Parts: sequence; C-alpha cells; structure tokens
Amino acid sequence: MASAEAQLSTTRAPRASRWSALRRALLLVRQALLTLLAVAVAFAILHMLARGLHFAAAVALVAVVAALFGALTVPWFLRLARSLSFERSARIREQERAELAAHLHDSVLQTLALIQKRAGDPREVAGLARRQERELRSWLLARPPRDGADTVVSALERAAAEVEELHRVPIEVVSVGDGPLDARLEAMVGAAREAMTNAAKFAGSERVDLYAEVAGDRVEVFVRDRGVGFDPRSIPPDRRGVRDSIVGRMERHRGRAEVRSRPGEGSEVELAMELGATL
Amino acid sequence: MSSCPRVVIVDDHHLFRAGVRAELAGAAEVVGDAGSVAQAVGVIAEQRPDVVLLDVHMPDGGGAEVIAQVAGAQPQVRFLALSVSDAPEDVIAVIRAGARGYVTKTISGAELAAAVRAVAEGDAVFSPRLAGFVLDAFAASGRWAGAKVRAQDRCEDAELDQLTPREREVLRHIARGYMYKEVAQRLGISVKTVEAHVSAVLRKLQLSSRHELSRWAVQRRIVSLDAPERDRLAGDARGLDRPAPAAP
Repeated sequence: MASAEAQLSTTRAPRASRWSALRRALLLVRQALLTLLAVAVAFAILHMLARGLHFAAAVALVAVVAALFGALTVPWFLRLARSLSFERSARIREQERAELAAHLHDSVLQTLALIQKRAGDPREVAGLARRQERELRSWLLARPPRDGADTVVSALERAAAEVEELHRVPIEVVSVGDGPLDARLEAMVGAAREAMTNAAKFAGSERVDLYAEVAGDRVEVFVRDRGVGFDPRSIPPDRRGVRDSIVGRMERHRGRAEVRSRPGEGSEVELAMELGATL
Repeated sequence: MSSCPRVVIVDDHHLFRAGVRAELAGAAEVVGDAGSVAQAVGVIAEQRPDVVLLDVHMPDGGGAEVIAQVAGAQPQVRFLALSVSDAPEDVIAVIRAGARGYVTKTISGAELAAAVRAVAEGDAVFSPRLAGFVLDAFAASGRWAGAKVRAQDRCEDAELDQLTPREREVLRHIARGYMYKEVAQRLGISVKTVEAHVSAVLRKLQLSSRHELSRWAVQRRIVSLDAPERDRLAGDARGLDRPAPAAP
C-alpha cells in the first residue's frame, strides 16, 4: 500500500514538472517572437524615415503592428487573469471544504460515536440526535451563535433547548417576527421556560409546541402540550410553578398569563406583553 | 379510487425513502421512489400516483423543479413537501410551486399517513412550522404593502397580499400546535370551514404578486448575514419602492 503510493507520487511528479517546463519554453518562444517583431518594426520605421518615405505610411505601419501585437498578447493576458481567478476560487473552495470537514468532525461524527456507544438507551439516543440536529441546523442557517446578543426568539429557543435536554421531551419552537430582549421580556422568557418545564415534566405529552409572535409592540407566547391536562382552579397552593413563576412573574412585569387546561385535553399557557406599556 | 392513496417518494437519501416506505405501510401504497429530479419525473409519469412526497432539497433542483416539470402534464398529481430543511424561503418556494402542504421529517408515522390521506383528498396540510412561515411571509408583505407601493399595484394585489383576520386566527392556532379539529372547536366553526380557510391561504400564497413574497425571501436571507452585508442588501431591497436615502 505504502509502496504503491510512493510509486504513484514518483511517476506523477516528473510529469507535472515536464509540463511546466514545456509551458515555460513556450512562453520564452512567444517572448522572443514579440521582441523580434518589435525590433523589426523599429527597424522598418527608421528605414522608411531615412529613405524619406511618407510619414503617414509609417503611422499606418505602426498601427497595423500594434494591432498585431495586441492580437498576440491580449488572449495571453486574458488567460493569465482567468487562471489566477480560477486558482483563487479553487483555494477558497478548498478552505470551505476544510472548514466543513472540521465542523462535521467536531459535531456530527462525535455525536454519531456517542450514539453508537449508547445504542441501548433509546431516550438518550433520541436526545443526542435532537441536540445534534438543532446545532447543525442553526449552523446551516448561519445564525449567530446562541450566546451572542440576544433576541426574544433566540432566548426562547435556548430556553426550549435547555428544557428539552433536561426533561427529554422534544419542544417545537415556531416564531413569527423577533425583537431585542429587555428586562421585562427576559421575565417573559423565564415564565415561558417554566411553562415548558411544567409541560415536559407533568403532562406526559409526546412533544411540546411553543409559538411566539412579536408584532410591533406586542409579544405573545403560547406553550401547548397534548398531555393529561389538569383543572387550573385546583392547583394546590404549594405548587409555586404556575402561580409564582408564570402568572405572578408576568403580572409583576405588567404582562398577562392565562392557563387553559382540562383533564384529558392537554394544556396551554398563554403569555402576552405590551412593550409600549410603561408606568 | 381505492381508499389507499398511491404514493411516490422523492428524496435523495436512500435510507430515508426506505424509512418512509416502512412508516406508510398499510396506510398508503408506495408505488415508486426516486432519488433525483430526472428520475422523479419518469417515475411519476409512469405510475401516475395520487400523492408525491417531495424533498425540498435535492442535488439537481429540488422539489420545486419536480413540480415545475410534472404539474403541467399531470395536474391530478398532488404534492406534499417533506423536509428537514427549515429555511423558510425554500419551503415557501415549494408551496408556491404548487405543493399542497409541508411537514418536517421528524413527524411521526401516524401523522405522516394522515397528512398523505388529507393531501390525496385535496386538503392542504399545514404543520405548525409552515403556519409560522406563512404568517411571517404575510406579515412582512403586509409591512411592505404599507410602504409606498404604487396605487395601481396595491389595488391588484391587496386581497392576495393579506390574510383575513379569520385566516390569521386559524393559522395562529395551527402554529400553536392545534389540529384542524381542535381549531374548529376553539373557534366555534366546522372542520370543513377550517379546511376552507387553510386552502384559501394556500391559494393566496400561490397567486400573490411575486415581488412581495420574493422581497420577503430576500429579507429572510439577510437576517442570517452579517450586519454590513445586511444593510447593503436591505438598502437594495428597499430601493425598489422607496427613494434612495441621501448620502451622508
């Protein structure tokens, strides 16, 4: 195997150098021809002037020769420019390929290795696959990294990803519009996170849907599950989740929360906030 | 027509085609599959299926290209887009080409079978994600419609470029994760009416003036670029209906 490779490289190398030597020789010949042409022209003009020939004839001759010179050299210049840009784009392609390979190695291949190791644990495998899917997708869509400057939607997506990983229930985030995050909206994201956690922990739903809409000054978030449901009037007073972390938190930040659920029909938490509303 | 819809699966991943085939067993009759646009056009012409499950992205053109080549000759074939791709502009492009719906590849087998049946019967299938994309697209085109578009254009497009409040409400419920039946219950209308609203939205999406939605697509693409590039492109897109800003 190793010797075959060595052989390959020894046969390939001389051929390549032979080609470039040939090319160099051709270029030299062309250069020589062009120089010869220039000398001949100069000589002809001098000769004509010395013999007192018409000045116009000399000009015409120079023009013809210049055209000839151009015809000879322009394609060469074009080819040179083209090969330069070809080389550059080839280099860029190579860089992109290397970057892609590096990324896939760090992410997808590692995850696939983990999945093979944990093949016996379906929940774990599904979680790994989903995390990888999310990561790869945000990379493909070239979104800025999640921990950069935050928007409402990116904060909600991050919260959803965290809850999903903690409780191993897929959370589908669908959003319309987006806007910058401020302290009140952070509180809203916190309430949404709590709603997602409740749905993932207690509902027994196969998945949780989160829908966020940022339209002008109004932000709305809906967290829905198809799980066991409950009677919102009968939340025990010691369950701080819904009362404090969702409803109370929204009200403290001049927002609104509504919990809709019935036993057997899943549940939905609706959060709304008007951004213009200041006190 | 039998109760079991005849289906062709078009996807460039062999494993995925095999997986869908297994999931649909019993619910639909898979009469063929294809891994490229050219293959797909041949198989569809030969098999004349009820429904084609269509990948949004393929090496030689993707779902929109298949629809473009088949729809003219075989208007009875219905298309359902099925993809892992979440780029909204790509999904909307396939819908605008004529697909009757879009579901993501992570959908469960039972849900996929139900979606295939619905499309076979001529209904539109909106996943929460597609509903979100559509709301976003129309919200954006509404914003543009509010800008200085020539009065003549507005008269022609106004109805197609906007959703009615009811259509918006239906789409919002779908985006929130409600099924058609649940949407009907919540809004106090029949399932047929929900389906009619969704079909109307689909029709608007397909007929709406090209420039509004393509501008939305440009906007979407810019969001994922870096700031200077975004500003430059945004300037270009805006330049279409607004006077150029004065040089600083």
